[in-house]
Amino acid sequence: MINEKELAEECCRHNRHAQKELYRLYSPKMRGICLRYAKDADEAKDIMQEGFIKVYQNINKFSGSGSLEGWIRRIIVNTAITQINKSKKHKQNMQISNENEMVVEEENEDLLSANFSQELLLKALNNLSEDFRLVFNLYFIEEYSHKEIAELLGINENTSRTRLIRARTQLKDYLTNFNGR
Amino acid sequence: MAQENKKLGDLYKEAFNDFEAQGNSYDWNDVEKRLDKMKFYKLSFTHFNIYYSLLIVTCFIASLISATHYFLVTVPRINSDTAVTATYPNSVKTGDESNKEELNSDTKGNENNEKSFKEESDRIVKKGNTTSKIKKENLLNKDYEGAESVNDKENTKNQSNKVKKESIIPTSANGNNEILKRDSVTIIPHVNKEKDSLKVHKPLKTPKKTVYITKQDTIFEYDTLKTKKNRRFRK
Repeated sequence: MINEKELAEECCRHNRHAQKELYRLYSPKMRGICLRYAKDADEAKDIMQEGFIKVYQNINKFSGSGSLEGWIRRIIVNTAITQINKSKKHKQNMQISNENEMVVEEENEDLLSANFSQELLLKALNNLSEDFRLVFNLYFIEEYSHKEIAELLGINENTSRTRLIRARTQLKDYLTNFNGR
Repeated sequence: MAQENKKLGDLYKEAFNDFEAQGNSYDWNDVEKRLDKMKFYKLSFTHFNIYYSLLIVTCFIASLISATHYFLVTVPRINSDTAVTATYPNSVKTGDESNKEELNSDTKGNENNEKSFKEESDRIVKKGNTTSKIKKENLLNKDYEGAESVNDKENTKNQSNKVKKESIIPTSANGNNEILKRDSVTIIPHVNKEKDSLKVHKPLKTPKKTVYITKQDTIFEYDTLKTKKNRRFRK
């Protein structure tokens, strides 16, 4: 089996077989990431396509010190953020004015039962608004700090915290309601 | 079923940490299409791209412009140049052909002179009542001079000219042959200057008709209009 570095080098030479192999190896995981960030499957597909094009364009910048998967993952996440920010410009449905006034209490969290399926969790996540979903994904799954999220999204740290609390609350409500049915 | 209470964040992290979703085979085709498109817009000497196509289009447009210029400007100019060379004087040409052409042109010129003379004189007769006598006479003399110089056989021509002169002289309404007096208002008759100039300035040469008779190895050149001795030369 061809290793990551050789694969990257072949992709640098615009070898179509190597590019296809790279796509075959990493597309399932990247599609999972895209589905978390996107609202639906179509948007996820767009994000992934755009992300892989960026990967092929910038593969020569891959140093080889870290894992190729991590490098591609970062590109896909950044692409998702860019795409969401683009689409967000058309949708000004968020009330940001009251966001900074929220009282932040992250520690007191209710516990949830662990028997939710992956599909249901994804559905609940997709039910969130774009900003909340973005902060929730970046904080809990990508494990970014509020400072990093604030820099990445160009927002205040407190705004990031507030969005995370709201996202968590909405998710909890959704899952509790579903569990109560 | 064992239920374990977890924090929401941990729940999602566990669920989606190694989450994979299988797509269909068409996804790669879409990516490949975009890669091809990207390759087409990238400058490279090894594969066909937009720069090559731009070069081809530019060459095509340039050739089209040059061809248009050639057919619309250069070719008509060449044609006009050839037309000019065709009207060069006969002196350029040598041999019997030039002589023949000269003869033809001369005889045509004589015919034209006679025709135009007749037309002009007829017109003058029609406008006789308003044309001054001096103008008429001058015009007639001018035309006669040209006509006389053309003809070699003076007697026959003079006779015919006399007849013409008589027919041209304007007469009064009562039918007498007396010349009309000049009116108070003189009206200059319309004269076709182009025709007149042609009549006057046309080089008139004596016709020359040569006959070549070949006898064995000798060619005899006979000028039918000349009475002098004829040339005689060997082949």
